[in-house]
Amino acid sequence: MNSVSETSASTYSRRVGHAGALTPIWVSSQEQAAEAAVSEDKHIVWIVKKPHLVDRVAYEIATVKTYKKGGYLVLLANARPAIIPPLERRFTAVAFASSVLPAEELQEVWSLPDRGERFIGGIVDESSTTLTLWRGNFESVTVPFGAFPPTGNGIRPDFKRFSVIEYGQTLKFGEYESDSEAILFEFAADFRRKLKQTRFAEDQGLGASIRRLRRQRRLSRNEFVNIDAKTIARIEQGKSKNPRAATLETIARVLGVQKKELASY
Amino acid sequence: MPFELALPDSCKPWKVKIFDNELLCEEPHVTIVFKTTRWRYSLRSRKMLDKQPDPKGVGDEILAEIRAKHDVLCREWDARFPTNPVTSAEEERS
Repeated sequence: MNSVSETSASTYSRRVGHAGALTPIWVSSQEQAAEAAVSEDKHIVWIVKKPHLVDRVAYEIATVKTYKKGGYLVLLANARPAIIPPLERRFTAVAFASSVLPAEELQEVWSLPDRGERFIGGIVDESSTTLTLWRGNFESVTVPFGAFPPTGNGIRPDFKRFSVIEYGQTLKFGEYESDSEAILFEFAADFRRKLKQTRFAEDQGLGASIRRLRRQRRLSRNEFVNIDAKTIARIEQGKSKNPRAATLETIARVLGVQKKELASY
Repeated sequence: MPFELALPDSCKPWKVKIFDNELLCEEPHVTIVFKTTRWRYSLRSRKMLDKQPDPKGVGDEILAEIRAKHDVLCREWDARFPTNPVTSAEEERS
């Protein structure tokens, strides 16, 4: 019988120590802010929470006139538009977040080779009803609140209580939790490509893509206006080899994507 | 609120969860969580869904807990995701 602790420890140790690991530094003083502005170490992520320290970083960039790209910057404070250009010129990438993973989990995630498939934090914008999420590779995805639908038993997300937990693989909105893969599948084309090469390798056709997207949207085959459910079934099962363009247009519209994107799912 | 299977103390810090928002394009499943690593177990086939990470990484004790509570897990999944229930394989009926 496998021992829970033995197997977990070996899996765990295999995944740490990635050569391209990033090291987070929480900027808590004026001196550290000044250092962040001039450091050329591309493996450091500077995390700044206090607005006056963000200002200091921007001031130092302007003063020292360092143009070589440095590491990464995560801003947990509201950044005024005026200081965004110098920050974006100076750092390899700048992430704006209202919430990030706990410090020890951030360090762990940035040591993992699959950090791009995890979220390090994000920022909720209630005006536009969107959530911008930052992946561990500093790419962002912006998703509408509607990407987090209520469950069949009525559990709804509370966007005022947003956080990222479980090493960037779970998005939490109060009592509601979302698997990060559900969001990456819908909003990150590179993640979908990877899934198609691995998990979906045996089910690659356009029909399979339509079926996956329909299921992800929680739709039945009866919900495509003017298209019979049997027609949808034939397309999904690959029995209809050349569906009409107008049919695919309708399917794409109901599924909320462009026709040319259908096959990517 | 996600459903989290109650596991004995000897299984800590492992978790077995059904989230409120899941990758529904695949068959109903639970997610087995251990620190930075996750596995998925199909509630239909009662097998691990993925080849990676290595399914052998999940201890027998965890799998035994999942199998013992299979009915509960199916009910919890179906309550959350009625469009993709465990017991109704839509594709097979078409």
